[in-house]
Amino acid sequence: MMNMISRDIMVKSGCFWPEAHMDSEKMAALTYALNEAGGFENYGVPFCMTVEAEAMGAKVNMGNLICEPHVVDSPLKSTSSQVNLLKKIDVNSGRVKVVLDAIKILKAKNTDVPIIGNVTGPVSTAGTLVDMSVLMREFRKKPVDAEKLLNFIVENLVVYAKAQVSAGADVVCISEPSGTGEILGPKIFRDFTIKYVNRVLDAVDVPVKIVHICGKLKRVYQIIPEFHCNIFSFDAIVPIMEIKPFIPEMAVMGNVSSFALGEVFSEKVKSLVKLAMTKGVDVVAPACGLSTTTPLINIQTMVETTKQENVSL
Amino acid sequence: MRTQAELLQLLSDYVVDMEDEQVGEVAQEYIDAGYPALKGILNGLVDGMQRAAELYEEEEYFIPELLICSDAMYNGLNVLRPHLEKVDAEEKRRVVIGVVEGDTHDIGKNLVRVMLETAGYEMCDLGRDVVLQDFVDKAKEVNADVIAMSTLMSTTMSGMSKVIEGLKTAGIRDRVK
Repeated sequence: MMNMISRDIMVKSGCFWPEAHMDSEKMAALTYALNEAGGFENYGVPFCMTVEAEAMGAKVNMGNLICEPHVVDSPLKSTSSQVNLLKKIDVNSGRVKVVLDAIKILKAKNTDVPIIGNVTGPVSTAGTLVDMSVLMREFRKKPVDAEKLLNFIVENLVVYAKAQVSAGADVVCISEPSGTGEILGPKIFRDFTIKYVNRVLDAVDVPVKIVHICGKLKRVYQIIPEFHCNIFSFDAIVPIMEIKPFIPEMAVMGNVSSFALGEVFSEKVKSLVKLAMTKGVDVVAPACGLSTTTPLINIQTMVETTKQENVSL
Repeated sequence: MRTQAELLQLLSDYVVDMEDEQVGEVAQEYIDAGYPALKGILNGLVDGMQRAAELYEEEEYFIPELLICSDAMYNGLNVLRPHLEKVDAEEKRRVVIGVVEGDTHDIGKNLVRVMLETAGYEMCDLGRDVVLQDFVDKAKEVNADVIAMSTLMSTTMSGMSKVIEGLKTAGIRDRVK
């Protein structure tokens, strides 16, 4: 998933952003502490969407205690055809190595808590290697160039995701905040997002594969079953009962509003979780990345309520 | 020779049909024939952009299509604008727009800018990853009526409320939407 870390847990664990994005011990300790404190019933790393792009040549601002890292300079200026300017992901260096080491540290703890390896989706990665607005124009006007870029990215994401599994990840979760049906429309969503996410999923041998897509999905409900994943995760705006009939083969995950989790009192969180479960969610989770100002008590309440209702997160 | 009505229709069609490379030639033909630039913008290009926005509302068009339509509109504007008569007497409403600090996702912001510009607002675009205080300072400087902030990421969202606080501190909160 996208970010699940909050300021409260940084304070509690003594592992702070931005250092925890660059230090495997701190990265592991932060997600470990979140689980220990009655937070999510998994360990998930990394916490941002920039590790892959940085390894391929993007310049990243590491953010601060509150803001997650973000790409500030894309290596490809004008067109996605210049793939020769990109670097290949090296699993033995940089923050890719940090993430892999963090997974190993978590694995060595030998708990029964599942470890999630988070991977930024190919389209969202592409949208930071070349400016997203350039990429979107090229999806329509120069699809062959866009394909070249996506092929390169997928090759590298496969290397990274496989390395996560070798390091000990029990689950791989691919998130596409930018490559969504709402933004791209059904045709481009199918031709690029679904196609290339599947290439990564197909190459990885891991028992649980999660895909998370942000935003509205109404126009793409029919093609969501084409994702080769066991669990499909979506935003708060998508009505669970509406999407469920389209994906009977998949477990549905979500979709407790991240915004609400950040803002409301914990009593309200209880009712949101119960509502999501009544509507048929199989894996209770935030609908999207959390704001770092989300109170820990809300995360704890979410997990506690889920347990009480007898479905595990 | 095409009539003015035909050319206006063509300008509008080329915007909505994403003919961003050909629209400039039509705009030039329109000017060469001696027709008024303002009408070419409003009844041609802007009309086309509004039709594109309708298609977006109907979920026929999505963001990639809107981006190319707005390219077409701007390509046409580049030809027509220099021929506008300078009688812009009416005071326009001013909007300060930008993506808040920590976030560089600016496509939504750019589209909102295009749409507001099309609707007749004067836009002051601060760009992306904008230092929060800059919203306040700029709003003061240009006497803005509206501040429009954008972000895609949940971790940067709280920056928006800081700008609102900043407006209060600067004593201009009530003046700005």
